[in-house]
Amino acid sequence: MSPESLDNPLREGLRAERTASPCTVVIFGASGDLTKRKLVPALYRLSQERLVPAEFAIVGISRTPLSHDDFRERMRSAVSTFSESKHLDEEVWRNFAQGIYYLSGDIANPELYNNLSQLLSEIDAERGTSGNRVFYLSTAPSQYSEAIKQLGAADLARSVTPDSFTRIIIEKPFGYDLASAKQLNEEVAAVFDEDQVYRIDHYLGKETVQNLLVFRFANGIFEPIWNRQYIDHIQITNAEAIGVEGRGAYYESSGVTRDMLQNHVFQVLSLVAMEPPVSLSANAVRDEKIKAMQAVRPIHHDQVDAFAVRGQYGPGSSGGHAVPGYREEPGVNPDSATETYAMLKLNFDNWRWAGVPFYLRSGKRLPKRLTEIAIQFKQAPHLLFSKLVEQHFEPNVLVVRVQPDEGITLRIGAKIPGQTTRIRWVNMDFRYGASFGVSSPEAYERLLLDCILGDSTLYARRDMTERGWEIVMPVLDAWRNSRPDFPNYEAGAWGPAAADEFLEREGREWRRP
Amino acid sequence: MGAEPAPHPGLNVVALERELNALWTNLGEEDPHSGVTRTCVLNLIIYADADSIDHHLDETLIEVTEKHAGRVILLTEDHAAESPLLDAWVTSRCTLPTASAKQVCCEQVTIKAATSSIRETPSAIASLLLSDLPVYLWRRGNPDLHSPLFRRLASLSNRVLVDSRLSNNPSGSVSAIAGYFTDGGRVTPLSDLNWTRTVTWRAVLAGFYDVPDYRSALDAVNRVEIKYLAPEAGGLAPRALYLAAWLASRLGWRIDAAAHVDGDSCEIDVWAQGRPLRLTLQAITGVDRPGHLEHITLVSAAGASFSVRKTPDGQRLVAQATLGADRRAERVSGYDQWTESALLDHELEALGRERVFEQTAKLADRILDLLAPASSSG
Repeated sequence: MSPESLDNPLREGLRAERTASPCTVVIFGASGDLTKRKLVPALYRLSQERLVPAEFAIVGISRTPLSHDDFRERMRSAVSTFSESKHLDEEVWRNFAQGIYYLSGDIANPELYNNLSQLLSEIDAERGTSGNRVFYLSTAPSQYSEAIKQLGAADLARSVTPDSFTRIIIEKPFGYDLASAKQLNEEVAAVFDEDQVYRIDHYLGKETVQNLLVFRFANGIFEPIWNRQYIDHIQITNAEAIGVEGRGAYYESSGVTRDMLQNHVFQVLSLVAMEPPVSLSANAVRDEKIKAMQAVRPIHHDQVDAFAVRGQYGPGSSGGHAVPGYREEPGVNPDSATETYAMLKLNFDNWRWAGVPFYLRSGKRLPKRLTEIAIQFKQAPHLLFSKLVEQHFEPNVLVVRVQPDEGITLRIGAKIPGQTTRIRWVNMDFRYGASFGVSSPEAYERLLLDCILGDSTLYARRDMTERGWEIVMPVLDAWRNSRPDFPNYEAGAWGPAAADEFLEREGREWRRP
Repeated sequence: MGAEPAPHPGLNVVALERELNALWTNLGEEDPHSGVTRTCVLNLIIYADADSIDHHLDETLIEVTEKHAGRVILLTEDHAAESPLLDAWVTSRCTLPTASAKQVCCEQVTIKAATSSIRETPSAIASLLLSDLPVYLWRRGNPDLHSPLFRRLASLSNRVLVDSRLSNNPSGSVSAIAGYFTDGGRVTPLSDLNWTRTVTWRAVLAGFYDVPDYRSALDAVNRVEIKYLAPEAGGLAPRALYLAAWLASRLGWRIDAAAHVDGDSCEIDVWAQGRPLRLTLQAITGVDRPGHLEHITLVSAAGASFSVRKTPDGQRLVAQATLGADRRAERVSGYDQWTESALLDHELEALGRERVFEQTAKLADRILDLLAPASSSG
């Protein structure tokens, strides 16, 4: 009897209709930041909310020699520091910690996997985890291939019994470029079936990103105008106020296009551009997302300047403090050509979006941290009031704020009360925080639970990861072959002047979020 | 014989609406820079007795409106008032969701009425409701489901919340709730907050049934024991009754066999998928938490057992599954403290009929019927 198909008569009417099966989560890279900041706190909360059963275990793996108890103590400290509630009930923790184990070893050493196999069998017998496993790759990306190969060689990738499951979660970045992403996908496919593979993009775990589906497909009023007939253009902004925060060495080999645009921003883009799926099943949603992305018109190597702008911040001011330029950050080459800002214009060759440009921008050291989608509608066909508006007549804009202050705003024109007809542009606001007053679950909680439940809707499929790279590769190749005039924007500004000029040439302008 | 007091002229709804509008203008003027956000997702009518209004209700409303912003209409009935009292006023409730955000404000209309005037209030309330938003009625007090006022208020609402804990006769109110569902005709969906208080227990019990390895043992359960702290008003605790009836309705138990009462213990023989099963409801003594559930155990013929118990401090739940000497799983988790605002928070997320509760209430009434003669003879 597979856990997902088990009919539970007691579940009807309970809010928590989804409950996970017994399982063991194996974290490779257990001494890393992600494990202590996100993964174990998320698993602890899922356990506290009884969304995972008592028959649940965690195995941490890393090179550092530690006993089970040492690791438990480290995780106790991590949960009390990073868990949302901060308060740790010692008695509850002790019980949870009984299910935490640790293995040290070299990720390339087959002996580690033999030990892991033995430990997992013991946990199955002791804790009733039923042979279900989720492997979580949270190591350096360079170790992914080795871990996957070794898991296959140790026969840990196959299901233990016909009714049990084995799944693998792979952290970003998924490849460095198209070739490496394809190679990694090949290596994964040699060991795991695609339905076992969960490529995590924590943006998809955010409540507002998920709400895009509800917003578009649960409200009858938006879909009829969600197309070229009514929309002039769409702007997607993903801005960070921080710099590289000590990750200079990593960022030097990455840049904002690899780090943010081709994964997070493209995931958001696909949800905006997709057609309605036939159902909410993982593949129905992901089929529509990839169909939309396949309609993105390729950018040719020799036309990159007509579709993309790059930038790098210099010294400036952020949040009222003087901050160094990117090239002055630790670990960064003083002549670095790495882009900390990128802007892309994408066109879709399909019926819905023909002629509607999508402007995407992502950058570091911008004035504030935010992610938003701004849908700018076309002007009314006849400007009855144009003479009454002294400045320019503003179009309607629908803004979906993904973070922070999650919500939706619609800008509309309204008459200013008085004897004469004057128009003022006002915002109609819907704020998650105001309307629901509850904090959204952490993205990792939702995504980990989904994986244990076998729901891959919010994970990236193989074709999507490769398509993201296909779209940006011509841009990255062209940029690699030409020397930029960096830095070209001050820290604390909304990117380089070239990005503003780009939109001005098209008769448009960037929103000031 | 003195002359009857002249009837109250009624509430001035137009003036109330004007006050509500002025409220928002004033709030905007008080804070012109950051401004306020008016948010409404529902209407909440609270019908309470005037002598039960205390600071707890105020705290509850602050917490509830933070999560479910909307218009609150607080109707208080003053049983002691000698004159035909009928008065109403408007207030606002503002919270700051985050330090950087705008204030979020909700509005409250308080209507105070003497028993002799209260029948006039539903028509005023009907016109004060925000259109197109769901209407919840919360009866905070002894639920009299047959009173004309309650029926009028319920007819304005999309969902009704009562609390059998506040009843003068808690198990009797369970029967009244079952009767409400079987009255026939169209009734507004109703839930009992005592049923909500069993959510955590139900979720933990359901968790046992999620584990494939446990199913054969659970399907062979032949003894179920529910221990609860005796309610102040005496009789069976509605929560214990609901839990037993819920198990019976979800697991298809047939309850038509003998029942007997022995002191604080009620035993009912039921048929569970063709096998006999002994269901025991045992009242235990305790100074705190009257009516609370304390322990439930399911035991199978082969010796497997599944239990959920509250720790003595009432802060945690311990769920334990024992399949044999070498196979035991235990989880300690925090116990949800069902404060009044937590209960409302849970219930205000639901709309429409709760089929499982309706079936449970009817079966709970059936158990009470079976126990009644046993109780009187025993």
